[in-house]
Amino acid sequence: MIKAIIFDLDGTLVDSVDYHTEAWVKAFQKYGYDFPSDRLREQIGKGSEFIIGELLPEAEAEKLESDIAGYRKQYYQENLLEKVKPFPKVRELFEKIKADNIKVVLASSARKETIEHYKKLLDIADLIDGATSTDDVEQSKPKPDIFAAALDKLKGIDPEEVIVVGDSPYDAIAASKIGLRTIWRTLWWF
Amino acid sequence: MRSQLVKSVCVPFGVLCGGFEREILAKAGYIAIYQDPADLLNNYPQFLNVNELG
Repeated sequence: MIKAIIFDLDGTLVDSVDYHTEAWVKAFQKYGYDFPSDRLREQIGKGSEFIIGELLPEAEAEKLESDIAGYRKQYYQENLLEKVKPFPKVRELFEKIKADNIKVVLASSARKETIEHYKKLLDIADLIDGATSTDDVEQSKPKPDIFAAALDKLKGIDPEEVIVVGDSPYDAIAASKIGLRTIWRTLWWF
Repeated sequence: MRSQLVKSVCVPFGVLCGGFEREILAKAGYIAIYQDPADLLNNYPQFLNVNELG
């Protein structure tokens, strides 16, 4: 029986993927790299460290990661965040889920302040049981940390009782690794 | 160990509204794919019966 639903935000509840793509294009351009939008769009949903690590040679990624990620974040917050529109019917969906006593948790590769903005935009602050951002964990998606942290907030609920809703391959990959963590813990205790 | 592994993972649902192609999402392991939150609402509460999907 399903007891909780974990939702990704960008691309799942808010229509922001094109804006994230634009911010990444600009950030890479600023540091001399010209990547086509399509190439960056397919990366959206991963944490910054994984996007930069995939696109740049290792030494350059290491050197420029915090600069590129910092510029991207600033560009997105200052120029694009206000343009993001919610997908329709999110509040109605969450109301139905909550009426059935099922918990709702947000789990995003975004920063805490961005999640707060989206919560207001979607008018869902009173309906959610928790939110996990990239600030809460060491590694972002596609690593399972964000979903695992969200699951930790749902005490007494097993992974198979939880639906994860996401828009990118990285959400599915992250979700599929949560169980592995559990097994490793079990083995360690054993 | 293997069956325990399969049983202990979350149930992943995909939505297409982020722009990823259906084939890419299916390949990534989503067991059900919907258009967007409104489509999930239209399929509520049927989609909670995850054992019947697939």
